[in-house]
Parts: sequence; C-alpha cells; structure tokens
Amino acid sequence: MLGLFTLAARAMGQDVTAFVTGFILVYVLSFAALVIGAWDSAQSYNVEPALIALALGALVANLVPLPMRLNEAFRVEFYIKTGIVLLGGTLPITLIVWAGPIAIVQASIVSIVTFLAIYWTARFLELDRKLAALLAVGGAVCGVSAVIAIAGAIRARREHMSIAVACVVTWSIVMIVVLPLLARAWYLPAGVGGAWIGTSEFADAAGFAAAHTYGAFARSGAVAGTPDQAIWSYTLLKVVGRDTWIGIWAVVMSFVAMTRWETPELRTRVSVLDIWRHFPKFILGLFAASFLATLASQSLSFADFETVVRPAFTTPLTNLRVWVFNFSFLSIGLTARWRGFIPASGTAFIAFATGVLVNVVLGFVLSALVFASYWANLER
Amino acid sequence: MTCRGCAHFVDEPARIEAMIPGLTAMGSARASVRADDGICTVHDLVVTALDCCDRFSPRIKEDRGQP
Repeated sequence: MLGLFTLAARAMGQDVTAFVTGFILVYVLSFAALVIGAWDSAQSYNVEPALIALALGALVANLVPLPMRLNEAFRVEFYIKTGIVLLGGTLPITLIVWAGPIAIVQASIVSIVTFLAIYWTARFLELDRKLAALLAVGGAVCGVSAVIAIAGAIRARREHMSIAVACVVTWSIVMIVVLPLLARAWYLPAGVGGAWIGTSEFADAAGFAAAHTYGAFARSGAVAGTPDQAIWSYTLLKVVGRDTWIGIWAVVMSFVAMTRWETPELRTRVSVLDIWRHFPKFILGLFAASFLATLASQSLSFADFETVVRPAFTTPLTNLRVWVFNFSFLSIGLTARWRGFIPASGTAFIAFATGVLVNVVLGFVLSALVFASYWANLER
Repeated sequence: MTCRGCAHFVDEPARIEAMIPGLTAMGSARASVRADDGICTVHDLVVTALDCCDRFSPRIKEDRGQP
C-alpha cells in the first residue's frame, strides 16, 4: 500500500518524503483504530472502527503538535475516492442500472429543495448572494467539492468560500453521529438508513463513515438488512444521485452569476464544456470498476462465485477498501483542526442549519416512506 | 492575457489549500471539480483560468503563481 500510494502522491506532485512519513503515521493509527474496533466491548456498543479512527485523528490533531509537512499524507479526498473506485469492484452494475434512476430522482428533489431553502434563508438574513449560493450548493449537492466547483463558477470571494467550507465540515461531522443514531432509533432497515444518509449527509467521506456505522448496526442485528445494503444505497444516493450533478450546477450557477450578479472587476465567460471541466471524474472509475467486475463474473454460477471469485477477488478488494476508508476517516480527524478554521458567521451558520433541517426531514420522507421498498430490498 | 498567464493567479493546489482554512478536512484543491480555477490575489476572488481583467501582469517562469 505504501508503494502504491507513494507513486500516486508523486504523480500528483506531492513531497514524497513528507508523504511517506505521514502515511506511516496514518497507517499505524488506522491499525490501532481497527484493533480497538475489533474488541468485544467496542463491538457490543457498535462502536465502529470508522468512528474510532475519526475520534483518534481529532484527538491527535488537536492535542499533539504535528509537523505541517505531514499534512501531505492526510488526504481525506484522495483516500475516499480511491475507496469509492475499489467499491465499484464489489457493486454490481446491474444494481446501479436498477436503482440508479430512483437515486437520481430522489437526490434531485432533495438537492433542489435544500438549495432553495438555504439560499432563501441566507438572502432573508441579508447575506451576500454569492455567499448564499455557496452555502446552498454545499448543503444541497456534495459538500466541499460543490463549494470548490461553484466558487470558481460564480467568482466568489475567498472569504466566502472559507465560511461555506466551515459550515459544511462542521455539519458533516455532526451528521456522522446524528443520522445513524436517528435511523437506528426508528429501526430503519440497512438499505433505507444508507439511503437517508446518502440523501442528507454533505460530504462523501463523512457519509461513508456514517453508512459504515449503520452497516455495523445491521451486522449486529440491531436493524434489518446487511452492511452491504447500507453502503450500496448510500453510494447510489450520494455518489450516483448527487455528485454527478456538480458540473451541471456549476454551469447553471455560472450563467446566473454572469447574467445577474455582476463581477465588475472581471471579464468572464461560460461554456457548456464547464459541465465536463467540473465533473467529478472518480465516478467514472466507480462505473468502470463495477462494469468490469460484473462482466467478469456474470457467466459464473453462484457456487463458482463463492468458491473462486469471493476468496480471490471480492474479499481482498473489500479488505483493501476497509483500510483505505479508514485512512480517510482518520484523515478527517487529523485535518479538522478547529483553531485553524475561519469562524463561520452566525447568520451563515443559521442559514445552513435551516437547510440541514429541511434536508434531513425530506431525506427521511423520501428514503423511509416514498422509496422505502427500493432501498430495503437492494440485493446482488 | 487571461488569468492563466497572470502573476496574481494562484493555481497551485498546496497554496490554495493554505489560503482556504479547512479545505482539506473534507475536500482538496487537487479535486477534479476545481478544474483550472484558482485565486486572484489582487481581487481576492476565486476565478477561472480563462477570466481576465485590467490588472493583468504577466507571469514569469520562476514566479509561477506568485503575486
């Protein structure tokens, strides 16, 4: 793993020595989180390695003065997107084809309603239009990635981007704990709980931590279903349903900004090609891995799959994914250094919180009532 | 004459991440969704590489991304 990730870091132009040093720390702490998570007492309370890694990272980052150069290896996004592509290898393409359209419909409804709720609240509170738009896409589409994509599209102020990022990160971390606990309190089946998390979490990495936690509830028998169902429905809603729209949101917002919100300092342009420029390319990796794995195993009988494919391919791939996701969860904690954040303004926080409330309620209605039969019955 | 060639345009991921606190907690300036957008240090705005303005100052090879 060290060799592969170092090669990737080098390809991205990172400081290789700093990456290797930081990665060793990430590996050791992830190993510790997995060991603690395997203890009987941790399992009896459903304390998943995901949450342990997150807490461990936050403790280390906020109590131990780590050298800044180690940040080279604390790459939440790099690890989570690698994990999502690996997940594609165990997510049947037939499942994406079957449930993908429902996921897109559900995600679109929630995204548009949440966007309008945050934007209108922010404008009512007399926040700047561009800040309102950044908060709205951060809550409605896909968290920090959406803020990054839309900030350039609308030529936002740097300070506004920082405020939107702070709101997204704070609420994402809160939701890692809140959503699984709420879903468990109502005994939602694993697939339904995963779908709700996919609809109402804000960042991919935080959502996977929550979905893993909910999967653990299913593994222990606290809720119906399987851990895979929680992960699959989460992935369908969050990655397939919501993340794919970033490029389109970028072009729409860019057009609105250019025609209605003047930026007198600049001469700007908008192009339909911006859909592709801002498209999250890792989704293509998920689709490709899913398609290839499904194609390779489609002619095999169930017995052949269980005796040949599962031990030689599916299990090692799943184990690798667990490690990579843990690197990501740990990195969330390691990078969430609160004293380094620009404090989000109170009004911005209130506007975002309004969207959180709308998003969570609507996400529950759609996941647990309207489309519950789809998400509760996801199967290979 | 676009931001891409301007000395005030910061498009290096490490520098962008340093200028936006908290960005790496759930995202990254290396994300493909950023495309070739960057930060204009004159206007303190997030801009695309194809934008332009009257404050253009050509970038020389050694000061890539430096204001």
